[in-house]
Amino acid sequence: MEELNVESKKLLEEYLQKLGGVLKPLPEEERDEIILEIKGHIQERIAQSSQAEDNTEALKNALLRLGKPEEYAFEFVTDYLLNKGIERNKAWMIFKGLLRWGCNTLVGFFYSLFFFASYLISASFVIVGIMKPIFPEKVGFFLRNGRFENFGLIMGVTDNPNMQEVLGYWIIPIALVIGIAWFFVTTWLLKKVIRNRFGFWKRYQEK
Amino acid sequence: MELSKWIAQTRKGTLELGILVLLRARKRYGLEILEILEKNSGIVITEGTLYPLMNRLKREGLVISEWVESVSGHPRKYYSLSKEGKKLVEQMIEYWNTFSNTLSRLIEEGR
Repeated sequence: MEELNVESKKLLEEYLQKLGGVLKPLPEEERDEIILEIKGHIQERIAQSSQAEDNTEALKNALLRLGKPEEYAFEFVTDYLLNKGIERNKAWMIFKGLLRWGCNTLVGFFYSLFFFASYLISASFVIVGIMKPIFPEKVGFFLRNGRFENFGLIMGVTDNPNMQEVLGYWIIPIALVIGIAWFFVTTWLLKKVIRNRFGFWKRYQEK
Repeated sequence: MELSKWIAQTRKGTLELGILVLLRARKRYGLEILEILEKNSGIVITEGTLYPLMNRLKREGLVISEWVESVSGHPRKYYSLSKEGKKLVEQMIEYWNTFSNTLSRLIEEGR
């Protein structure tokens, strides 16, 4: 360790500790390596600076370049969540990764919005299939005077003579199949987008 | 298109090539890469861009890393090209040369 004065030492340790905290989603080994690497980097920056007397200034400058611990950790964590989530089919990781990406950039925001909406649609179809046996009268594919009225759950009265339910219990397999297919198509699209955005080599291999 | 936007996009697109080319000569560590990029090419990136990018290149098997104890006493994480990375960088350079030649010719002819 460079001869950091007490104040600098404390400042650096504090920073690295916070960094360790925000890197929590990563496996311990990876986390330790990131911290060790940036610690060496900071120490070397300090050693380079001419004001060897007061290395607090040099340390502050080095930390300023990194940004706050959460800023520095941001890409590491988002990258990890999305890539590992996709690799291991962990919905929760992908969800957290998408949320982070969505909060960070405008492009990320729109992509996240799109995927959340798409998963919601897929879930709605599955729910319609499940609800049919529970509320047989209220769930269905309804036509009013021969024109499309509703696919799914109707809250109001359904014994309107102008209204017909045309699918019966067939709505169960149909809704389930659409919902599941929708889910897989969304996931396929999501994988493609993440590979494009957060991958480099894979992007080349596909072309 | 705004000039600054175009410059930012061009830089972003060539950053990976810049890093891989640096590693073609020999293994290097993060701060070294940062400084060379800054001095020689004016590509100014922050640590928050470089290190996650190195991590990504490593995860995708293009670079490998090793810890080396330095004279200054801090262990340094050195990066070098993997076999796949070497292959890719040659292909990238070849494409880049063809591309820039074509573009230069286009610019000349357009005068």
